[in-house]
Amino acid sequence: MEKVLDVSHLKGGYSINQPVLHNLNFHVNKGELVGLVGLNGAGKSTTIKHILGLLEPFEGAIRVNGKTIKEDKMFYRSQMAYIPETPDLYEQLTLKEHLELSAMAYQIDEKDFQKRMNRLLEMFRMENKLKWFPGHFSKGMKQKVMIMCAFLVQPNLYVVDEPFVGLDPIGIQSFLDLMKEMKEDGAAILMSTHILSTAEQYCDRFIILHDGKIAIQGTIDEIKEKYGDTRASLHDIYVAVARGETSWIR
Amino acid sequence: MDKIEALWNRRRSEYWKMASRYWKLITMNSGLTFVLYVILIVGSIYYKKWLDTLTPSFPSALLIALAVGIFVIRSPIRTFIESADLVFLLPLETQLEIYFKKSRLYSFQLQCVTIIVLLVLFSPLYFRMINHSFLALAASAILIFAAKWWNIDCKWQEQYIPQPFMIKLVRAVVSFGFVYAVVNGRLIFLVLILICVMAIISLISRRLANQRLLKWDRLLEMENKQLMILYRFANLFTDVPQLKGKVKPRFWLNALTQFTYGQPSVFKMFYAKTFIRSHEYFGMFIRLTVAGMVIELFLTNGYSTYFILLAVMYISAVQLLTLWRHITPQALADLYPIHEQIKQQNYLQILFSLLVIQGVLLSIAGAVAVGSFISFIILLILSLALNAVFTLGYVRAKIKSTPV
Repeated sequence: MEKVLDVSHLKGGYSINQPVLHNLNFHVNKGELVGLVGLNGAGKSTTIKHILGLLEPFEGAIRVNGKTIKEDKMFYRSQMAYIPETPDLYEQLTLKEHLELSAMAYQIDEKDFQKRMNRLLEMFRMENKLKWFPGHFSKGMKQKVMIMCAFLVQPNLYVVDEPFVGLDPIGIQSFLDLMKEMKEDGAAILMSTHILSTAEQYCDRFIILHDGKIAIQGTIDEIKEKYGDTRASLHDIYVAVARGETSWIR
Repeated sequence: MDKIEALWNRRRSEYWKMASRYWKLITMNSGLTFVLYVILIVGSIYYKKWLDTLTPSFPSALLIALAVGIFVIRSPIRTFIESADLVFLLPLETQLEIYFKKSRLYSFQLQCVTIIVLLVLFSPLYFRMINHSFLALAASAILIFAAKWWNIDCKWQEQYIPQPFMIKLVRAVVSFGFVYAVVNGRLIFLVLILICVMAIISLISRRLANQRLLKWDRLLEMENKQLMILYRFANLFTDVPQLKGKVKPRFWLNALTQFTYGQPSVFKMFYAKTFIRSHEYFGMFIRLTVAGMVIELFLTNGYSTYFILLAVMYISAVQLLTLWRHITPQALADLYPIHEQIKQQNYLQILFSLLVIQGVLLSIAGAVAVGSFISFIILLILSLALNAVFTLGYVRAKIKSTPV
C-alpha cells in the first residue's frame, strides 16, 4: 500500500520544554479514511497543525507522498487540503471568490473549476449564495464553504478536523458522499471527530489519541478484538481509554 | 427595579464617555471647531443677504416644516442594548419597562435639542416672514415637541408590530401636516383635527402592538445604526476600531479587480478586493486623494503643488503598508502552495498601481490649478519617481525582511 501521509516518531507541541505529542507513529494510505479520535486536549488539533506544517516537529518527521515540508514546501502544500474545526474565511470575499481563489491557488484548470464548483454548489444547496459574504453565513454555511474549497482542489490528502458540528443533514450526507468518492479515486483522508457512530461507519482505521500518545490504532475489528469484547462499540472503547482503563492495550 | 435603572444609567454614561473621547480627538486634531466658526460667520452674512431678497410669496412655512418635519418624524430610540442582551436580558423583558421608558425619554430630550437648534436657525426667517412675535414661535415649539413625543411613542409601539410600514407612512404624513399647520400659524382648525387623528392613531397602534411581542432584533438594528453615525463621523478624522473588519461590497468597483485566472493572480485579487471592500483602506485612500486635490486647487503659489503631491502620496503609501499585514484565514491563504515571492510581487503591483492612480489624479488637479500642461507632465514624473523609490525600494526591502 502506498503511504500518502507518514508520521514517524513525531514529538511536538507549542514549546520544546512542554511537548504535547510523544512519539506518534501512524500513516494514511492511498484510498483510506483514517479517524483520529480522542478527548478534548488529547492532541488531535496539535497533530493536525504539525501535519499542515504550521508547527515544526521537535523530533521525528512528517512525510506527504515521500517528502517533508522542508524538502519541498510547494509540493508538500499542493498535496493537501484542510477543513478546520472553526471555519476561517475571508470576511471581504464572496462565496464565489473563495472558491475561485482556492482553484487558482492550487492551479486547477478553469474549466474543471467551473464544473466542480457547480456540482459542489448543488450538493451543498448554495447555488444562490455565490455573491454572499461570510458575514451573512451561519456557522454551518461557513463550514460548507470550507468543505467546498477543499473538495474543489481534489488533493491527494485531506486533513479534516471535526467537520460535522453545525452542518445540516444534507450537508453531512453530501460531505460523507464526497469523502467516499474521493477515497475511491485514491485520496487519503485523515479525519478528527467526536461523532463516533458516524466515524465507526465510515472510517477504515482509527487512531485513538490519549494524553499526546497513541493509545491504540487499527481497524475497528482489530481494536475490538484487543479490547476483548467484539460487541463493544467504538464509543465504549473510547470511553474506556479516556477513563484510564488501558490495561488491555499492552 | 433599581438594578435595571442602574444598568441603563451605566450604559448611557459609558456611551457618553466614549463619545466625548472621540469628540476630543476630533476637535483637537482637525481644526473642526475653527471650520465651524467660519461657516457660522460666513453663513450668517449670506443668510441675512438671502433674507433681504425674499418676496412674500416665498413658501417659508413649507421650508421650515420640511426641515423640522424630518426630525420630528425620524424617531430612533436609543436603547443602548447590545447583541448579548438578546440572550441575557430577554428573560427579563417584562421587568424592562422602566429601562425602555428611560430610553424613550432620553431619545425625546436629545431629539428636542436638535429641533431647538433647527428652530433657532430658522428663527430669522420665521420672524421676518411668518410672525414677529417670539411667543408665537415658542408656542409652536411646544406643539412641535408634543408631536415629537407622539412620534417617539408611536415608534415604540411599532417595535411590536410585524409590518409597521403603513402605520409609519400615516405617522409621517400626519406629523408633517401638523408641523406645517403649526408653523403656518393660521390653520388652528387643522391643528385641532390632526391632534384628534393622532390620538386615534395612538389608540390603533397600541391595540395592534398589545397582542404582539417586542421585536428585539429590530431594536438592536436601530441601536447599531445610531452608533454607526458616531463611528462613521469619527472615522472621518481618526481610526475607529469598531469599523475595522466591516465589509462593503462595492460591487460597482469589481471591474477593477478582475485578473486573469491562474495562480499568479491569487494575491493580486486578494489585495485588490481587500483594498476596495475593507473599510479602512479605500475610505482612507479616497479621503486623502480628494483632500490633496482640493488643497492643490486652493494653494497654487510657488512649489506648494509639488510638496502637496509628494506629501499626500507619501502618507497614503505609508497607510497602505498595513494592507500587507491584513489578516488572512489560516485554513486557506496560509496553506496555499504559492511561493512567498509571488505574494510579495502581487502586493507591490497592487500598491504601485494604486499610487499611480493617485499620482495621476493629483497631477491633474495640480495642473488645472496652475493652468499649464507642462506642470502636469512634471507632476506625473515626480509622482512616478516617488512611487518607484517608495514601492520598489523601501517597501520591497521591508516586506522581504518581515514576511507575514
